Amino acid sequence: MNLPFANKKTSASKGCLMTIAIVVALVLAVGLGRQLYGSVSPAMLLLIVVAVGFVIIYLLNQRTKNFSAEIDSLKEKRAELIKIGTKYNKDVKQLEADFRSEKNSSKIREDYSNKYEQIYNNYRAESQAFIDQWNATHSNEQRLKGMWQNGIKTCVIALIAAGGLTMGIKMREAEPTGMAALMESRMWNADNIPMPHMKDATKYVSNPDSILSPAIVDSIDHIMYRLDNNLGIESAVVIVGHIEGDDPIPMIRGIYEKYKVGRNDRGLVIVVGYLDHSYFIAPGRGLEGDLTDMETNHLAQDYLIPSMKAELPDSGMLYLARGVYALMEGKEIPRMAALSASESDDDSDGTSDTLWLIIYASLLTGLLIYSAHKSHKLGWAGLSYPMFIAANPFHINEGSSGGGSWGGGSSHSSGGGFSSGGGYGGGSWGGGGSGGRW
Amino acid sequence: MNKKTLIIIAVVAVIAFWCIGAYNGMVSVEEKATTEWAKVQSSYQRRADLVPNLVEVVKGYAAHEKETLEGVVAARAKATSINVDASDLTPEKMQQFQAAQGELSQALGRLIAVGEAYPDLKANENFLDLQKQLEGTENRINEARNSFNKAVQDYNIKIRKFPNTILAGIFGFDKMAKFEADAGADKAPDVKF
Repeated sequence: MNLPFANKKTSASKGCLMTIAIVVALVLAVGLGRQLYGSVSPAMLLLIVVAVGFVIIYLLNQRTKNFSAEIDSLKEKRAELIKIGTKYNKDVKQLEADFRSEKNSSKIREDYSNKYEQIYNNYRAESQAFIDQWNATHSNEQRLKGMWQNGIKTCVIALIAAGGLTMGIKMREAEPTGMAALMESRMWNADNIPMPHMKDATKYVSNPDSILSPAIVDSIDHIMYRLDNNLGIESAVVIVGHIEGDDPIPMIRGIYEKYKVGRNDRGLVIVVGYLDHSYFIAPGRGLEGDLTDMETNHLAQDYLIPSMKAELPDSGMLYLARGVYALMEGKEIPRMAALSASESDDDSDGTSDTLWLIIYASLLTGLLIYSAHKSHKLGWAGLSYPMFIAANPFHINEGSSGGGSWGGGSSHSSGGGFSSGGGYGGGSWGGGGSGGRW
Repeated sequence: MNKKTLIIIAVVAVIAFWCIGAYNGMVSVEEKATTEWAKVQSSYQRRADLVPNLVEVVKGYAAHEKETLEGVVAARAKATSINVDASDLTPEKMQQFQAAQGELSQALGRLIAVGEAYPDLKANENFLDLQKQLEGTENRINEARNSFNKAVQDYNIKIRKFPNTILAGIFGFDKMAKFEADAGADKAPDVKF
């Protein structure tokens, strides 16, 4: 008669394994999300997981229509199990009545408690025997149940995975503003600064310390690509934590000498030392007439410096790039939006971390409620032991067990690659442009 | 044609080809240096062109800083009067040129310092723009001087190497002078509070 306890242990270990698997999957998803940062949109991820969930549930409902006979048969099974439960509950009540007629002592109480355990074990054994026998002769019901269980499990896993990925992306997104990490960033010069344009002709921004968010880097790359293709101005935009020697000019000179930025000498190099609070906007020799020192100074004063003072490097660099493009195109220079230091709260898609968490938690809760509702409607909810047997009235309280907590962490690394080659067109710098500090 | 004549012709041909190659090489590096010199002069000219505007703006706010303003005008006149031809870059000429430009730099430094003492002038947009232009011009001068020095160094190495030095002597490729660090540039300035 150890079967019920053995089952309990099996289901407990299954539950434990499932919890560990979910936690591991979540941690892995968070780690993967950090890796996918910049290449996957959380909104798109949500859309995909919701669409997949709807498709799975729709298909399950469609398939369930073919199992109407099995659903009816499940009601019989339930009724039979209730009968068994009712019978053993009567036995427990009889045992209680007998106990009341006896002299109340701890020895007698223990004897009755043992008798109760015997009844309980018999109940579990009989129920289990009935379930096993029933299942052996009604395999279609098991198929239907398995189908639903697997479908719901898939949805839960997909939701947890998508939630984990989103959290990973959001965690990674919050990292670039970590000043402590930036403070320890290396000293950059023209020799060690990576030049993405040399590997990919559509990339112009060098952001090795991740001061700018990937979305802004993409936007600036796009503007600089248009500047290159529409107006013939090749550029390199460099933003780093620290510039070697705390002077952007040698870096500008080195970049021009090493990479020859600018076809027909129409190049533009922008270097910003974010933690040094220094910048320099250096047009190539051939561009000096079109982009004068005064204009570069005004661009810096109007866009770069106010944003940098407000610790909004994304805004500063984006508006500077837009300003350069508009100026070169001869159009009106863009107006800068009012600055506030709450940039880190703004996500590229306008959704905060907490909201994402709420969305996924709500979806998971909704799915579990739907699953419970469905299993009740289809008839297998609580089918193992649909009738609760009365609790042990002779139980002697021996103590209680404590709880625990779990904590975890994750690590990451980031990287990238390029598919198409690029390069600069042989430009040079004559010392023009303007720079300064904020 | 006997064997001896053929050998003489071959040796002469080899020497002639070497002479042509070496001469052309020296001409190239000389041209590079003179081009860089032209850039240096144009950068200094650009600075000189800024001076009248700068003086006019400062005069509007600090007319009584007569000494400083006249000093700048005089230094400008002196600097623009010394023109050194690219074909005559001797150390003496270079020193004269550098001294005159150095005086103008100092006079401009004093003029900018005047701006610091006049809040209205300091906030004047024209003055700020001119100041930025002056900064840019100083950067250009610095870059032009560095490039010129590098080109001159390449040229001097080329003409002084053996056997190029023989041809350089024959064709009159003289050593060019480089910019030296400004007097006192090696000493840290005194800062008094």
